[in-house]
Parts: sequence; structure tokens; C-alpha cells
Amino acid sequence: MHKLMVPFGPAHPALPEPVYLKLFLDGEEIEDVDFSVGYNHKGIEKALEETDYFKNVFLSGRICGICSSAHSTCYTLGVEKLLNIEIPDKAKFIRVIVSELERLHSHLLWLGLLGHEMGFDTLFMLAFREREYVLESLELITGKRVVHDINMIGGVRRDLSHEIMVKLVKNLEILEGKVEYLRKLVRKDSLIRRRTLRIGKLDKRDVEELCLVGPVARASGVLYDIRRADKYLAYDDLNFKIVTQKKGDASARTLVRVREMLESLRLARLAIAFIEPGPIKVKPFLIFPEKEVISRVEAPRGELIYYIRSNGTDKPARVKIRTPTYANLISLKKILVGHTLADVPVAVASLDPCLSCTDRVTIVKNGKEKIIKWEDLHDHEHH
Amino acid sequence: MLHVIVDDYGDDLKIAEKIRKYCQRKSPWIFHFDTGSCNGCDIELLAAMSPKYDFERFGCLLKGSPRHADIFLVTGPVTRKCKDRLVNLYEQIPEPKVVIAMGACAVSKGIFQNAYGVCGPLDKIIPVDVYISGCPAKPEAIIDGIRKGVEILTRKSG
Ligand code: SF4
Repeated sequence: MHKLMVPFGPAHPALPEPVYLKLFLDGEEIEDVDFSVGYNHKGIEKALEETDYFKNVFLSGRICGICSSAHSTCYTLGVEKLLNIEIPDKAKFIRVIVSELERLHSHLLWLGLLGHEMGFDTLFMLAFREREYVLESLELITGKRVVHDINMIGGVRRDLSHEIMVKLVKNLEILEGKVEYLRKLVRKDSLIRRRTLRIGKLDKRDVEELCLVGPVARASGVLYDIRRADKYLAYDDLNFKIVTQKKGDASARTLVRVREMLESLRLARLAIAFIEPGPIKVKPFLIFPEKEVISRVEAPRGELIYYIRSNGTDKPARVKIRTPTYANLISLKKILVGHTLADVPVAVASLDPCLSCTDRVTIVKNGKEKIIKWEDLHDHEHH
Repeated sequence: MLHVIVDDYGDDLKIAEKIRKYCQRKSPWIFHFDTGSCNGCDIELLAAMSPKYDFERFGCLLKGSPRHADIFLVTGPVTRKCKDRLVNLYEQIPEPKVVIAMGACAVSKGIFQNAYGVCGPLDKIIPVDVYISGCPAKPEAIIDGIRKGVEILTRKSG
């Protein structure tokens, strides 16, 4: 029998996004967890079907503001596969640079939030201070700080001039020192270590059974990275290490992410060195064949999959998106059971959940699940 | 200031009222609620708190509870599941309060015009005082919006 149920969320100070956790406690210890998401469900997959392929690039970029270019890269890769076009090399490298900088900003943001959850607000401020360098660089390349909108079908929208590259390299050099400092901090600081060590342990078998992805999987010793597995864009030409750890607890996940930041920095600099003058886009041939495609990228939080089916018109017939947090959230029970209530924010944060892309819809009426037809879904708004 | 001794209870209240107004003007506390935004706006709000922009120098603080707040800052196009909670939170904020709609989503549903799960924009559901445009709004714009919000707050509290 459960002794006490503590609701956590949906608008909880420790969680930036709405998620509703039900924690069943025995004294201080968590015995069982239930969670409900869906507060952010907007119905983007359906909206993607009502807009044409070109405008969808922007919509897919707004599925998640933190991994915006991962989404739009994945979407454009899919459509390019559908149209059977090969984008110019320069465009590939620019996409790599933006993706890696995005990973950097996402991980820094995450580190800041982890610090905040631990009550270590100085770390939050430190991480956010360094993050501004990344955002500055992204603004230089794409013109925007957060939702970048650099991708288009057939290439990228903005060229990278020589002056920008010089500034960029300078920014990245400054950043390298700062991130290195953060890495040392995370490894040595006793407060961070004590709050993260042995919290939310997932071993290799759990990861394989639950099909977890991204840094969470790599922190448990699973060597899985789509950049290596799929070799999309220019990752085939670039030499990089996949960071893994063995322990599988929150501290291992922290270390994986921090070391991944250094790796991303190196990758971005390498990609800049590889850039040669040339075109940045090709004009696509605008006939959409009836076909299905799947594309995958490594978003900051893990594997992101887009499935696109075309019916020959200028709008996709179906777009299905599988986001990394959707895959990872399932491990919530595993990582929380057995810990105390005070560890919940850190354990949840160590997964790096990003819910705006995860929320799905289930319509429950009279306690029963109801299945409604795809066509009726839109009318549901007016009920 | 708090130890001013007055005989008349009425005067005491007046002073307390004065202090409240002064604090509200000098240190508005903000409660942020995400009604289904893409997170772009939320992280820009965090960036506005970070050392580079630092809106805390205006006395602003992000607070976790609506009961402590003066300014209600809302991002996102208001999803159907969030709607009731939004109204609930709005009612919990003590008067006088200012509502800020941040980002193209909250202002006009933005890019999510034909998504079925969206029932915004925000001003269809609760009264809005300040609109901050941009997708996402830049930290400079956020600070400007909050400053305008404080002006309205001062006017509202008389
Ligand atoms: S306004 Fe733009 S950045 Fe902000 S939540 Fe909406 S889509 Fe995201």
C-alpha cells in the first residue's frame, strides 16, 4: 500500500517546463512514480501536413527551441532524400557548425539548470555567461540567437564570409578555455560530486532494454551516436571521439555532456577549417515523388528520427517525429525509485528532459481511452 | 522606515501602503508560465537573467509561486490542456498585476496557426497589458517589455 502521494508539477519551480509527476513515498523514500505529460501538446505533426514542404522547415525548427536546428536539419535531410538531391559541401559544413554550436549551447544550458536544481546558482550564472559566447557565434552565422532557421531545402540560407569565420574562430578559442574550466569544476567540486554521485543509476542492460538514447545511453557505456552510425552531413570527413562513461549515474551523465562540449568545439573548428568557397544551395527540382523516407540526426539529447511520407502533392501526407526525450522519459521510474524526495530535481534534470517536443495526446473520456479519427482531430478544438 | 510610530491606525495603513507601492515599483517579481512554447522564448528569458543582460539589476526576480508575483509573464500559444491552469494561475496572482505576452506565439499564436491543440492567443483568455514580439524575443526586448510592465503596474496601483 502506498503511504503518501506527493504531486510534483505541472508548474513547479524546480522544473522549467510543465510535467506532472506523482511520487508515491514511504517516509522519505520514493516507492513508485507515475507521470503525465501533454501540457505542451500543440499538434505539430498534424500542422506539418497542412503546410507545404518549404514552410515546414520553419515549423519543424520550432518544435523545440533548444534543438531547433537539429529538427530542421533532420526534416530537410528527409525532404532532400525524397527529392533525391545532394547539397553542396559548403552547406554541409555550415550545417555541421550550427549543429555543433547548438549542442554546445544546449549542454551549457543544461549544466546551468542542473546547478540551479542543486541550489548552486553560481554554476547557473557561470554556465550562462559562457553560453553567451555560443549565442553570439550563432548570431554571427545565422542572424538569430536561438531559433536559427538556417536550413532550407537544398542547402543553407546564409553564407559564411571570411570576416565571420575569423570572428568565429576567435570566439571558439575563448570558449575552449572556459569550457575546460567548467570541466575541471564539475570533476573536482565536492558539492556537485556529492549531489550527483550514485543518483539515478542506469546500467548498460537498462539502457539496452529501455532503448535509451543520447548522452544518457553513452553515460552507461553504450557507444551509440548517430553522427557515427549514420554519417549524415559531413560527419564522415570529420574526425571526432564519442564520449562514453561507465558508471551510468547523474555524475557520469554530467561528465559525458561536459566532455561532449569540448568535442563539439573541436568539431566546429575543424569544420570551419574544411570550408572552401563554393555555392551554398542548389535549386531543387520541384516534383515530389510518392515515397516514404526516414532521416536521423544526433540532436543534443540523442537520436532524432523523422519519417516523412509523400503522396505526390506539395504537402507531406504524414510526418512522424520521434524525439530523444520521448525515448528517455521512460527511464524516469528506474532512476527515481529508491531515492529520497530531495534528489528528484537532480535526477530528473540529469536526463535533460525537453518536453515541448515530447508531449503527445491521449483523449480520455469517462476513464476510457477513446480513439478518434485523424480527420476529427482538428474539429476537437471546438469542443 | 518600518518602525515609524503613529498613534492613528489609519496612518499606519497608509505608510504600509506606501511601502508596498515603493517595493512594487522598485522590485517587481515575475512569475513565468509556459503554455506550450517551443522553449525558445523560455531560454531567452533565462538568458535575460544571466550576467550579460542581468535584469536582476532592476530588482526583478523570477519566482516560483504565483502568489508572490506582480508580473505574470506568459510564453507559448496556450494549449488546450494548459488553458484552465493558466486561468487558475492568473486568479492566484494578487492585484494589482500586469500580464506580459512574450513571443509571437503568445501574441498571435505565431507559427502554430493551424495546430489543433492550440486555443490561444493569450489575450483571448486573460487580459494582456504588454506584448513583446519576436520569435523568440531578444533579451533586450524582454527587459524593455518588463520596464513597460512596471510603468503600468505603478499606474494600476495608483
Ligand atoms: S515565439 Fe517563437 S521562439 Fe517563442 S515560443 Fe513561440 S515559436 Fe518558440
